[in-house]
Amino acid sequence: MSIGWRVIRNDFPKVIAGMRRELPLGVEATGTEMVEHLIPILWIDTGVLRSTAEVYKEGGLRVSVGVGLNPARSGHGARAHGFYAAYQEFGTSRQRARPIVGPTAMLFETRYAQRMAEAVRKACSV
Amino acid sequence: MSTGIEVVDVVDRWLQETLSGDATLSAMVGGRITGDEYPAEWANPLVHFDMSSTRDIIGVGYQRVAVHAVYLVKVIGESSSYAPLRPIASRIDTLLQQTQATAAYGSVTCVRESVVRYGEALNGVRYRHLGGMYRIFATT
Repeated sequence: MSIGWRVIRNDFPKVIAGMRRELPLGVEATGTEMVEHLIPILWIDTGVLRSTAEVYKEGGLRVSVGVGLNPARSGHGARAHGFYAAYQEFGTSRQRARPIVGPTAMLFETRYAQRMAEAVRKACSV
Repeated sequence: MSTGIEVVDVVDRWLQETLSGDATLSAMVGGRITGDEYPAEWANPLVHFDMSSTRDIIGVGYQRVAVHAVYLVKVIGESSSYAPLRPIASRIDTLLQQTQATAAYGSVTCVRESVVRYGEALNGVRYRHLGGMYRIFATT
């Protein structure tokens, strides 16, 4: 006995082409959406953290989202003195962590997956 | 009343048992290992863990069948350098990294996804925090 198969429809080339187009767009858009999501919910004292939340496009399939990064990295000069973001996110010797950036990153993991799933569906649709 | 897995019943418990149950780590920090608020009078170094983020995995009938969680696990010590904390953070990592464990209350898989390392000065006293963010997948 033998079992075989016959290909009557092959969407793989379309999916590959669609993903090539969508992957970098999706990464960039997800980074931008993360920052937009973060800005209204970040810890607020002087507003420095909110003003220094931004997406850094690192090329290819990589973006970084930074909050209160150092001045050299952010290009904000003296405005970017948000080193204490780590104290909020990870806690201090006296205060528990109050994480916001980590949960946001986890939330956007699924959003990115949904975006890619949608891209595959679109590529396959006739 | 909730149904399905709860991180506090599985992940918190597993972390507490794993970290406190290790005689080497426990001796390094004098038994000061907790996922709760620690008393202000506790000396340091101490090991602290806390949930950073979590996502439920939903199965048939909207039952929670598993959780993806990220936990911060770190050692905190009064020091102007990371050197004294390095062996403690290393021991934590040995206990948690790429661990798969099954207990009566659930199964856990753990991997570190990033290092956490920063300093702090409080009233002229310098503290260092060293550890990692551990991604934990848990099922019951």
